[in-house]
Amino acid sequence: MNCKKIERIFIDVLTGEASENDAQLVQEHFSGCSQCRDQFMPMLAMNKTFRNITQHEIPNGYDERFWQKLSAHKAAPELSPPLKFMVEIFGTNVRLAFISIVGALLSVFSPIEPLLNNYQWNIIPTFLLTISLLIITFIIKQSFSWNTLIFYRRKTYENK
Amino acid sequence: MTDEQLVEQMNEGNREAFRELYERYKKGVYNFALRFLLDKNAAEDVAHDVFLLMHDNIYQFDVSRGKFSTWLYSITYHECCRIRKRNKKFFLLGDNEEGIKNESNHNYNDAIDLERALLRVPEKYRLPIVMIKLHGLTSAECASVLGISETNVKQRVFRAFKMLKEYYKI
Repeated sequence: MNCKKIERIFIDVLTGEASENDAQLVQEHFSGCSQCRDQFMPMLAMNKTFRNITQHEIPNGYDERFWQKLSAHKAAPELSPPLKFMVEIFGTNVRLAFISIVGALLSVFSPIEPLLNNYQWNIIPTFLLTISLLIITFIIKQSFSWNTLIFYRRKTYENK
Repeated sequence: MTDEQLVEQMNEGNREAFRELYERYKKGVYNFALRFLLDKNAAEDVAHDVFLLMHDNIYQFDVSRGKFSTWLYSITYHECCRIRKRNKKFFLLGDNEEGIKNESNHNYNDAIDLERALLRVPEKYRLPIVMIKLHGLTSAECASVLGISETNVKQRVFRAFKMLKEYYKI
């Protein structure tokens, strides 16, 4: 078997998904091919060492902090329907679509166009209005904390 | 009792089932987040958020689509991505390709040393190897968490091993 094919099988050995036959094939190839042996044997050794890597201990007070968070999370007030609607519709894509549409409408029906009566000067307030909308929608989105958002997503299994 | 049976019980309103799942996975989720974010405080926050999300969205878990652990690690991965997007400072070490070249002698038979080396592998290659070698996911499960193909996962694992080999200058 050529080295390229062995490399493919060897990757399965590394991920632990090679059959015993495949592992045997790799070993046989290594005994006859010093180039592959030199390249892959250290990887096999590392692969074995991975079994000895232990998990990090969780920090002190980790559990207490979690149960406190969960209690606070459960106690968080339910969002009112209009706020729920706001959270729902203010996803990034919808925000961008909303801004584009409003921006486009403003560029056509600008309230100050009759005052200026000049297309070139009309672009600036339109641009500023669009930017303002972008900032406002961003602030609205950011004003909902992550906890509020996950509360909204929650379906309380206790209530079932 | 299997994870899936516990999920079923949780959906039926058994609070102890949630506690049991939390106890089973608290260390795994924390370690996964730690190896992704390389920051203990951020990892703890992510781990807590993951369990809150699990608590709220357990009804979305569909046993026909895969194992519970894969689903949970998938939530963890997406939470880590969200945190990373907010705070890029955590990832300076992991994403530095130059960092993998080290001047001193190391021993790849030493687990602590190997883990230290692993943290220097760029995130793109580190995550598949962490999931497969340290959290027991298969290539297919890892592929579904990361949203890439199984072949791609395997290639990344192989590349990570090559980087580790380079680190040890073997």
